[in-house]
Amino acid sequence: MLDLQDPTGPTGADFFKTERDVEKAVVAAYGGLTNGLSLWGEDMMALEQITDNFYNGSTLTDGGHGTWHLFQITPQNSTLTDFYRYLYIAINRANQVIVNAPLVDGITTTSLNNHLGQVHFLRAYEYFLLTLIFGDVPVILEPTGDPAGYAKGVSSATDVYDQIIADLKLAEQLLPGSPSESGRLVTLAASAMLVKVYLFGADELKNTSWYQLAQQKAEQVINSNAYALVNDPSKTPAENFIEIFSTVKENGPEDIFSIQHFNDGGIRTNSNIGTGYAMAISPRYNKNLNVFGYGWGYVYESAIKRWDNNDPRKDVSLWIDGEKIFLNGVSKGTYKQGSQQRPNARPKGGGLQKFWWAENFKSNNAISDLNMKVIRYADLLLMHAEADLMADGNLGANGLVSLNKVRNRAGLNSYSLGTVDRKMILDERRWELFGEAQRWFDLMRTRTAEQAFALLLEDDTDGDDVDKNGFVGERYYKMPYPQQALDRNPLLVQKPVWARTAE
Amino acid sequence: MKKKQIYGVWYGHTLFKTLRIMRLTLGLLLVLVVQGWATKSYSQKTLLNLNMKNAQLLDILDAIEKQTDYYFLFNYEQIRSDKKFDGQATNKKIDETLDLILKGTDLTYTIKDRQIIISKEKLGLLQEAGSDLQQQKSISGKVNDSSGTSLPGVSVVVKGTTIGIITDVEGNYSLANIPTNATLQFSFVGMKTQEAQVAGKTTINITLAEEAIGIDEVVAVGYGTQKRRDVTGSVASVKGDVLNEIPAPSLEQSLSGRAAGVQVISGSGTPGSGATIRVRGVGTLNNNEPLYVIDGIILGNIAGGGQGDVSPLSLINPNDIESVDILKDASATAIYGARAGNGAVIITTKRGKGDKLNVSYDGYTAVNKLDQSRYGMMTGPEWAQVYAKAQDNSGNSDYTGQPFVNRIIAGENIPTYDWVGELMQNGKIQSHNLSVSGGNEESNYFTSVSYFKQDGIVNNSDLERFTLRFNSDHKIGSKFKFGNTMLISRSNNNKRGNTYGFDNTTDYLNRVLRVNVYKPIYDPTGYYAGVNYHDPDAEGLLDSENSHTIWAVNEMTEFDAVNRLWTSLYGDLEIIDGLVFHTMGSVDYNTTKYHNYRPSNKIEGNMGSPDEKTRLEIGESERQTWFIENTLTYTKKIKDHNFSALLGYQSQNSKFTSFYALDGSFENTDYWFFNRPHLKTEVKDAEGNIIMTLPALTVVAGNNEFEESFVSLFGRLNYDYKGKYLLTATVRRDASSKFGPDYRWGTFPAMSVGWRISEEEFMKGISWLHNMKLRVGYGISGSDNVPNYQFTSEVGSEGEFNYVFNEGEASGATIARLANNALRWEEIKMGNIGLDVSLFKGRIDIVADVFDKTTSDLFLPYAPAFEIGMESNPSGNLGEVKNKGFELGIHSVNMQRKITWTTDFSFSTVKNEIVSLPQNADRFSNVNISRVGEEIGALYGYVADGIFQNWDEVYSHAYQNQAVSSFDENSMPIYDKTKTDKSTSISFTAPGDFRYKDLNEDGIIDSENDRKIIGSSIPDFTWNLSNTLSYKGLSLSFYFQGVHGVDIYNSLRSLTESPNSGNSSAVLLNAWDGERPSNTIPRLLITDPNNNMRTSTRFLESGDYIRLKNVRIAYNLPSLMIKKVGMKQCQLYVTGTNLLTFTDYSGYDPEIGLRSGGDNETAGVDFGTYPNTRQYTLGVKITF
Repeated sequence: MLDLQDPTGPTGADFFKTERDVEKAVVAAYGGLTNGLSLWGEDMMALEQITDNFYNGSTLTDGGHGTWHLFQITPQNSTLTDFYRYLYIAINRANQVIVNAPLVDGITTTSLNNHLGQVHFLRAYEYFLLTLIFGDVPVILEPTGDPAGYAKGVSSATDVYDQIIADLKLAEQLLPGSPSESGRLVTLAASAMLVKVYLFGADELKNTSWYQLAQQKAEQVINSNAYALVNDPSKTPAENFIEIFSTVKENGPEDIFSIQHFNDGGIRTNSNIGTGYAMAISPRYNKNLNVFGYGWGYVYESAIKRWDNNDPRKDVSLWIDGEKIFLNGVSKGTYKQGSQQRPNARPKGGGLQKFWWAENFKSNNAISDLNMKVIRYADLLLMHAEADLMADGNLGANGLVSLNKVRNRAGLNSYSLGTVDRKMILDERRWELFGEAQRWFDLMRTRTAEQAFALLLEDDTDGDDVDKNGFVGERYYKMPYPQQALDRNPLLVQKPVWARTAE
Repeated sequence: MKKKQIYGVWYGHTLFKTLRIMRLTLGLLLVLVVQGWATKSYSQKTLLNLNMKNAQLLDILDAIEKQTDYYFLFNYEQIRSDKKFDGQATNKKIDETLDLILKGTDLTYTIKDRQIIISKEKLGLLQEAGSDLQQQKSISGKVNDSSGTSLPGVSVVVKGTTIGIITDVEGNYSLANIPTNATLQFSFVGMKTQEAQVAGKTTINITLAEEAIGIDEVVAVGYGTQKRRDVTGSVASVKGDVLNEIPAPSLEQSLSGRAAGVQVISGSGTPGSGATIRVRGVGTLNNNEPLYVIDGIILGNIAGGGQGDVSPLSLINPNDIESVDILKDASATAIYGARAGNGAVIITTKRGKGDKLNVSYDGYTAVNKLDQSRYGMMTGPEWAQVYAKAQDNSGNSDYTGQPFVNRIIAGENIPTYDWVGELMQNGKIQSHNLSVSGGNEESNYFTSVSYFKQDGIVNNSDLERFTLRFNSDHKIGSKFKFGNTMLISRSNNNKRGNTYGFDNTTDYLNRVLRVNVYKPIYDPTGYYAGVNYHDPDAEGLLDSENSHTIWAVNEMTEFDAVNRLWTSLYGDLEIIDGLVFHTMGSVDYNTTKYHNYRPSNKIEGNMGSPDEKTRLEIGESERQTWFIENTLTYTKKIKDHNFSALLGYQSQNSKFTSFYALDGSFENTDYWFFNRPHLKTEVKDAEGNIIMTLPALTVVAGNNEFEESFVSLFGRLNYDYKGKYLLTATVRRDASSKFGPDYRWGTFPAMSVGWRISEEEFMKGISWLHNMKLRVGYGISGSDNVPNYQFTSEVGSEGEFNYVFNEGEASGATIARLANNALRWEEIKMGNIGLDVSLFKGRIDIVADVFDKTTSDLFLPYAPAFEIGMESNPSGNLGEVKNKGFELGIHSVNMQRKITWTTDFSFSTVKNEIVSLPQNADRFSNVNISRVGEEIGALYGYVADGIFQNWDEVYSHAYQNQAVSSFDENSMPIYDKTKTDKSTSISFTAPGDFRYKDLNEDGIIDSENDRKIIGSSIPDFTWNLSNTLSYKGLSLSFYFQGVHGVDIYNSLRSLTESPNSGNSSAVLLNAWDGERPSNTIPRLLITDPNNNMRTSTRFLESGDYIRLKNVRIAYNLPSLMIKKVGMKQCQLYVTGTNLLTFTDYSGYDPEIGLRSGGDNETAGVDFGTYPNTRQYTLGVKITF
């Protein structure tokens, strides 16, 4: 009578017994990237709000990311804590598979390798995000059995990168060539991720030899011809570009690794599969216009000014005050920047249109089913060009081809040899990847945020784009460790520059 | 101590019977000489018919009492005999009958009107005793109780003599030939004895007051009862009729102020909201609710009610309650072992009284008054001034809605709308209760039906309750007894302003407070105004508060229905003399249904309802619990040694299941069912061609299930020597399915001793000392108020573990919590020393207790390093909390003449301290902190130290967010003091901002070092003072409640005291401004670079208050008048609740209650609680 078992589910002792358990644990490891409202739920939007592209349109207390655009980010900040906590949760989910899957009976080597390849990739990506945001972080490679008194000190960013590269190389070996179902990782995704890791790592660790490794890896992916830009010659550049973000043409030729989302019926009970990211960063809801954003992210006046009007990506990426909104060819009304139902939405500037549903498809209750791109082919091509340039200081022919592919798809002129500098490539990344949570990492790794923010003030005609005045590079290029993480792990010590922190 | 023997013999199960016998015994002891005559004579023509078969004398007397208006007075010891009677008496007069049945005994009888005294003495001889007294005259009068009902059977004795009489059925008495200087003593069991000087008067009318804590009172102690005089633990008792003086939907609110050491924290004004009861402080960081036991059915540690919760106890009809006994110290609670670590509340419902049919009706109606002006918001033009100023200060020369704001400032009269008034109303209550009781020698019953309806102060919120009770007791022979208890109850609750996906207890209220008053509520068609309906100049301005609260309150449904059935069956068998076997089986079955419905709407820009789809959610849960309880009680007296032993077994099993389904994609409002037509969503391209058909959006459903069991063995030994030295020893072994096999069983012993000092020979001479008892006790109890299955590891699945592959949902799972096989009971150790003193024949009763309570092995989640990456934290037995306290209760009868005046005073103080916590880490919750060495749920924040008046002050203070040029080698910011322009003041700390104290003086205001405990959510002490005055049929009672040494963090102010496009508090009119310095309200700014809204002493206020909690005036119609229409009693009463409050607190109501769920760790924060309001009640009580 006293020996009762939970009727609703197994205990941990009953798990990792069959391959089915391993399969579920792998799904959970992917799920770690969209867990709740974390990471690719909403948190990544905070990384856009600390760029020269976006500010927060809502109140400072509306979510943990509310103060990020002002660089009022403290160790107590909940979004900062989310990043740290949810990345380690995701890592643990990968570690569970890495340690337990090989012990399961009756699992074939092929399928074991497949499972392990996926989670090694995921673990690498998660440590990559951790070190990009925090720098030196603790490295945990297996699940712990005893939580009491657990403590772990940080590894240097160099060691973290070594671990990331080791995991990705292993994933390259273990992953299959083609996915069993859409959304799964393949071996070339690991190669593409290595490109990013080498390129960013070269900047971060001042390890210039990695530029060449990035270049080589990128060429390996390009030469495989497994990926292509969406570029139908019968369509306009704008049409081609926006098709990448169409909800009905997901996992197309350009997608290398995307966070998969699915609209689960319009009720936000399972935000893990239907996310908030695209909603969070889009302008405020207006049903008539089929615009369904939360209105947290708005675009600076400066970004609009600096973006060449001849770039077709600009029109389909941004809503600008007075722009007509067409739905199925029918004009539904006008985008009004001055009428956003958000307290901090400024009359000048604009909103993000890129993730807008141009389809006549009623979204439900503020959930987007749009996948979010972690790496897409255009990103890889631009990284290739940048790595080529940085490897020896000159952009080679191959690198130029990659850069021009991206520009030509966008309907822009080719650059010619000898005219391209790094800033031009970074600007190309800014417009191509606008709103895709890439900008901050580019500003950060090249340490160019100060210059970017100076332009915000310069371009601001009505004196309200003063948010970034609070930015101090030596602090914010690497965020503080969350206070809760420090409290729970005695071996984690706050960075000196953050040791004294004002709120 | 003859009375005591009578208790022992008379099985002692039926309280009333026992009291009645006592009353008669007492009567006889006093009325040894009867000299006067009752004023009225009784017809001797009454004829009796008796059919006796194997009948005992007592049975016969009882039968006569039932058939006629005669009543007998006798000493039970004298008439007790085994003699059996057989035979018949037909149409016999009373004297003939008595002659017949007393023949052959040594008993004789005396008939005085309707009262018949049976005794061994010759009354005729005794009558002569007083005949030689001098200066004699006669006196008469009437005796009533405080409700104005006449009291028959009251002993009226001339003090110092044996002369006396007993009042007749009308309560009248008459005494002849008594000295003019005599003093009359009026006594009646259960009532305070009163005296009156004759002093030449010929008429003396007396109102007797009830003896609230009399030493002969019987109290429930768990698996039995004890007389108060024998109780050695700490037990507080409240009678049902005292409880009913405050008309409240739920009994725990009525307990407020009635028992020392029992803190009752009002929930909120939400219909059906209960209150949270804390017995002796806050012992744990988990469930602090006491154990509720109703008629032996253990309900568990149910949450009485945080804000917004409907109390489970509100399903009990307060009118059915006979008494409530609260076991406070461990020696008292130990009999419930591991279940009652937070104290136990034992509720006894009314039972039939085994005499004539008794029908009574009690009904009342009440209104709750809401005073809107107390919210202190701005008018429209005031808002416009403040908002324009704030925008200007923020450097926004061009902002959304500016033309509109300018028009208001220019004096244009633009209509405003009363959103608060539209949301709120005066509340109403009506309550009807009808009870019928009665029975005969073999069987008796109590049955009642009640209806209660409360309309809340938020529109469309209400609670409706129906109850039906049936209690009965039956005897078969003299050895076997059985009976039942049953409650069937149903409540229907329309919640508003409670929960709709968020903790919304307060949300509606603070939303309407903050909505812009220029925002129309309705559009010209009468539909709710959307963002597109407003003045064109105001476009984008008025809808910052983006939910249409009035729409939500009027159109959405959030409905709960609860059915509850409690029923039990018991049997008692007296195996041999003194040995009783008791068995009880009971079932507690309840179901809860909820129905949440949000229709589609066409309100533009309403973020809460972004499309025209309707959302429906239906869920239900069922909980069934059975108990089996078997006890053996043995009572034995050997000379002066009295023993009573209890041995018991109890087992319990509960099963819980729930299921819900929801769908948010109904196309229109007509669908209230899930079986709608199959829907598909078509995706079209720019030309309108269907390019994709998505499957029907599916219904989301879920369920939950758990089961829990207990097994308990317990024993108790009571011993006393001459009623002077008392001892109670208890031990209970409890097992719970919630713990791993190795830690499942816990042993909980307790012992207490009592010494009735007043019984000692050396104390006998002190005439004013009626009773004095010292009590000392110590015991260990436990608590398993934790979720089930916590000791195992857990696999998390679905929801956040899922992902998407192939555009479809893939099901994920992984280990999400580590195991803790060593999980065990929370342990409560408590010592108690108490003193009971009764002075001046019980006119003053004092009960004082000190206690020391330690709760250890707190069941708390361990917060391991984030790097472990677990979804949920394993729990362990970590942490310890101490509570020390003092309690004092005084009951005093101040006046007892024409006017009766009684006073009750209670005082409680508890000192709470956290001794340890997991990892000794602080536990934060928004504004609260629980920290080792401090109180649970302390308020925590920065210390606001006035406002910077100029740039010099800004740049000479520690770093908050001043403009910085760089950092020095110690990472200390270096100020850029040249920055004093407007642009700087928009982005950085500037004049007009709060200065915060640099507590550690390190030059930086940081959350780690410059926040501290700024307030306490636990009062230092509380007191209650109640007074009851009665004069003839009129009575007045009122009581004050005082709470001291407590703080409130007024979080509502932190929402309303900043300028924004919605409305704000009127205090902003006095905001800091270059020309108008303020030291309390910072400058007006849209953004807040200095974070002036941070949690600080800025919003901290004293929560002390003294409140006139209740005033009640009752009038009993004269019995002569109501008798004509067949009533025994008819009382009219008016009650006022929360009439007067003395407080410095600026919020609506200092009684803010606890947040949802009754969590003490988040106490003391006012988010704009659904307030307790003034209530005026008009009621009537009629007895037939």
